[in-house]
Amino acid sequence: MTPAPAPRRRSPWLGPLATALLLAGPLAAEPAAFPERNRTTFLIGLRKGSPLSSDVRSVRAGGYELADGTPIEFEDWYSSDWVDIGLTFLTQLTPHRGIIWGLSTGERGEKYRIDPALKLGIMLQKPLGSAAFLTLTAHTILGGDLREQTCVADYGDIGGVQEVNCRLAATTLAPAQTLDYLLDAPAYDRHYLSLVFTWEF
Amino acid sequence: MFSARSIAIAALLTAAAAPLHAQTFQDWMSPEVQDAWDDGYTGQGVAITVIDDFNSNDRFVGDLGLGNQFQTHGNWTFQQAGMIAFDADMYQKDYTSRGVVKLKRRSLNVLNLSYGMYIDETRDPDDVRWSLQERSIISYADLGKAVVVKAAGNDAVAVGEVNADGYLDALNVALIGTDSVLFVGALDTNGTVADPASLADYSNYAGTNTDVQEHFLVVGVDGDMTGLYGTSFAAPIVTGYSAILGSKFTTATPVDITNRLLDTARTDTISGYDVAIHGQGEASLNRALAPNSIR
Repeated sequence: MTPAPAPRRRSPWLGPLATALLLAGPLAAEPAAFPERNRTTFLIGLRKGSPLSSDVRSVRAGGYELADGTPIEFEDWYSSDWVDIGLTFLTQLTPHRGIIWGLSTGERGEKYRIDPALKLGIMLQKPLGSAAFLTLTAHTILGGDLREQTCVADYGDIGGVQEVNCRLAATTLAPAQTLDYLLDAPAYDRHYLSLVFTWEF
Repeated sequence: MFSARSIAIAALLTAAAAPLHAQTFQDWMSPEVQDAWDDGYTGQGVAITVIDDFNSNDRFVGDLGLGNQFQTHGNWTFQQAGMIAFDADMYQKDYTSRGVVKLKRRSLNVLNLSYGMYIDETRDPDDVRWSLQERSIISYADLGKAVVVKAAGNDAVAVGEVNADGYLDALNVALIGTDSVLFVGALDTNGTVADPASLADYSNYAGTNTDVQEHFLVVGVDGDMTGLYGTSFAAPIVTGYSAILGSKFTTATPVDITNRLLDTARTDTISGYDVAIHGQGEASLNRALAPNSIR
């Protein structure tokens, strides 16, 4: 089995969120006094699972036999009854400003953990005439890291008891070397910034 | 006193030239070798010395997957061990030399002996006057200073017994009871649970001596595929396995390596497994690399 590469961080410089387009209507009004009673919170994102959940799923297949032939299945270590669920909200402060906030539950299996996370950000809109506007969206995620736990393997007289990467304990890698391949990654899109130009016609 | 037959040709222990192998899985190898390579075998820190015929004019054709080649017995076993343990430091020593087999310092040393030293059955094997070469090999096995992988022989007799021609492999006898020897017999193919293998009809077997049984392994020798038959081509496989183990468990001693291969040998891949025939069973690289337990 080839050591699994650490999950890659995706570039924060993604294209426009669909959210920006959804909000173009309510946030595109002319500047005016904005009473507190008009501040509305919108649910702008709902997800079950995440790219980190997918990374864990990718290592679930496979296994090996112990020295006596006892099968070890990775499924037992890298499955969870609960998949990471995330919600993202936008609270409109003014017609052209809003706060993005959200949270995710995290996910835990016997040998891995995706931490719960908090998302905080802002969305700013600048009208450019009557039918166009710029939307700046930025957020950061606190928490949400993926961490893989180690195993303790007993190799008997030939290698003693050692801390190892559970998945790689039976490979030709020296036990200590297997620790270099533990899954350890921050949340995808930890820092996000986008600038969207919208023109309605 | 009887001297072991030898020809007084000095031969130096020489480092190998570029190995005559490619890092490609071949069908004659156990699938477990591919599994090990997929995991990134490194081979550092292990020295394999093949003591064999490298200098005679006795050459023969075979194919280890690189096309037909015509070479000496020693070049075949050297090549075979190197194809399995391709990152090990490989050395060759012609067996007609009388000099001490030199071990590499700060390395796990594995010696491959795909030859026998035959004496007439009327002679006492304990009276053999060994050359420095064999004396050093026997000492290394006795003191656990090197893994000594010995081809069991092709006489279809128990290790340590006289063959049909009235000859006895005295080197086998001298190695019985040592700490880090592995006698290797040949199966007719690599065994699986679904399709267990049988002992090749020419292969020597463990016999009733428990000292031999406890240090006897078998591996598949697919002569139909390679044109190379004999326990001579079983020993290099175990030599390669020893080197792979040594590169993972870098603090393991030769005795640790020896015992690991013996303890993790499989019996469920052998048809009609019998400790008096198959010793500890078919060597399993996968199981030798795996932990005994994990949590």
